[in-house]
Amino acid sequence: MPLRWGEAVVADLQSAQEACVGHLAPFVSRPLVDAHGREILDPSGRPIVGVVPNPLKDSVTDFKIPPKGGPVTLAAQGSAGDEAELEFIIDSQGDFDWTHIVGVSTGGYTLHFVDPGEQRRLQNFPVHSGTVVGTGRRMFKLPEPYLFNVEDKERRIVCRVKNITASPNTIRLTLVGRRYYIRDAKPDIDVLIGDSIGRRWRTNTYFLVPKEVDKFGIPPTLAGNGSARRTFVMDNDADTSIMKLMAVSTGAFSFRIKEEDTNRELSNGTLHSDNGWGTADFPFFLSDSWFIERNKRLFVDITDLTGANNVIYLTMAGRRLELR
Amino acid sequence: MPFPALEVIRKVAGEPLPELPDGSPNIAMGIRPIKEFVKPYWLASEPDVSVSLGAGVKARLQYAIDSQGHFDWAALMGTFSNGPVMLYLFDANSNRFLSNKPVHSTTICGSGQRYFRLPCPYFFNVGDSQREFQIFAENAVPGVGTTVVSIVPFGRRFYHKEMPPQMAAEILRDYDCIMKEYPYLLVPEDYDFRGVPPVLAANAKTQFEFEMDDSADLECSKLLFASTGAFTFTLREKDKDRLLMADLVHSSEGWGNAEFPVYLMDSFLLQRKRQLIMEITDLSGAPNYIFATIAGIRSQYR
Repeated sequence: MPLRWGEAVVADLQSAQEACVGHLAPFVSRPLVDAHGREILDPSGRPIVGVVPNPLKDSVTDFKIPPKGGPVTLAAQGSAGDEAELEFIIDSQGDFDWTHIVGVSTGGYTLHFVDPGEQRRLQNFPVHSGTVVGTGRRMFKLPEPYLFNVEDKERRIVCRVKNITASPNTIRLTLVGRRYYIRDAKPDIDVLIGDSIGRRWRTNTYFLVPKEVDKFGIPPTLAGNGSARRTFVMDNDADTSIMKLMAVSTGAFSFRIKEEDTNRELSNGTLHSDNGWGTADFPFFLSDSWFIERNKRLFVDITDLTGANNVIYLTMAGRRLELR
Repeated sequence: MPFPALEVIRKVAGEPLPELPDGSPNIAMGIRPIKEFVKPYWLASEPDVSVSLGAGVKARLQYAIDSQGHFDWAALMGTFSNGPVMLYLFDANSNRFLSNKPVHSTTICGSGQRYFRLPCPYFFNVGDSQREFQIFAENAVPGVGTTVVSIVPFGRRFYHKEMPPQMAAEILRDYDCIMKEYPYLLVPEDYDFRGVPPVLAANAKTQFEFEMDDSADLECSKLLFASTGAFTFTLREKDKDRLLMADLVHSSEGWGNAEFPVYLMDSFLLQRKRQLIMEITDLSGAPNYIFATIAGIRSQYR
């Protein structure tokens, strides 16, 4: 029986997370044992089952990672010092399962995440902060948690930020997730944690930006009432499952989305930007995750509706499926 | 339900994967075959995506679902340049309205950031022909001038003609068969044929009656409203004379809108020919138009 929509809209996201991460229940049921470790039986001969705290819970906490050195203030766009590299250090105390992005800034900026440990970029081009940085009240949830398995060393993730406003910009960016304190845990608990979080295998979060942007992620300005095509290109490394659409723009626009290889449109007409794109706080969830094979291209045809110059940052968020 | 992109593979060409060296069964992960044939889909009205409605003007928005694939409608959103309108949703091929009267657009039209999720999906089985969905929009909300309206159903498309036959049959089995239940919106019987409520005088009391018709039960899940001022209310089952609250509740504590609905803690089953009484007292000190809508799943199992 299919799930009802209210239950199901984020089920695909959840299924990805639950399949890999699992929810650590605070309590588990366990047969009661006596001082010698023997099960205690009820009069009918069956083991008596009690509810006890989940032993894993002691080793798992919420965890937030601000960048090394704290907040950074970037100079106005175009001046020296308008970009910086933020380094987020995950020490060797335990694995970090990164799930959300939050931040506060005095203006917009672009971000470019790189995981040096895996030599992996988390986007094809830098993304606008308004599309992937949420707030404490409405955190931006990664399409799939990103696990940093520290083993015996520290891990780090680097985020290159660039100011795109005409005034100085103070940026506070924080990664939020769960910490698994495997060093404190007994060996059997460590194994249990490894099983529950899928330490061995994951797909990973990925952000897609159209190829027309420059190296800082800044798109060309769309003239008033003008039209343009934005092309999202999948590379040759992996298939992608897109789940959320986000946009930041200086005005409203209309859009149509089309797959190049099938020549298939995702709507039968042109739509208002408010009806298809959200923000980091309130993303637009696709009704079903959109599976895009490697080397395919997507076209988003946009038309300005404001009559004035319009800078439109588009971001798609999904998972990379590196399975073949 | 969205299909996960991945699935566990235990067999290849009908044969189990070779066992692991320790003798345990081997599994692999692969792309779920159906993902290639399912896409998100926005349905725009034709021929015009938006219409301009002067005060009192009515228009019919037509949505054609071509025969390329089934459409599993899941959410509704819209833009209104200068105020809300009244909407009457109609499945032309099934000759079925999805509410008992027109409903206020603020109660059922969200935005891209927070679209209105239907209480359950509505499946359009196109078969070998096209299906048509219609929305009658009327600028009947008191005080609203000319407004440009664009309303967009959103869901997913099953491209069944390209699927392997068995997969296409499974889709129909799993989705089309549930059309004994579909989303439904209920507004009080006291509203006029346009869905507009009688105005409530300042500080006055009144009561509205939600009544389910004789052909189906309604599993209510969300309470939605739009009004020109605050009010307090109670909800009471007429047949049992049982209240759903201990005392008066403020409107903002019990009713939401399309973007932020109030979800009932457990769905409330309003059986056929039963009534739910909403007793209201104005708090605004001014004439108050209260558009209330209950969203739920209409079930025709008996």
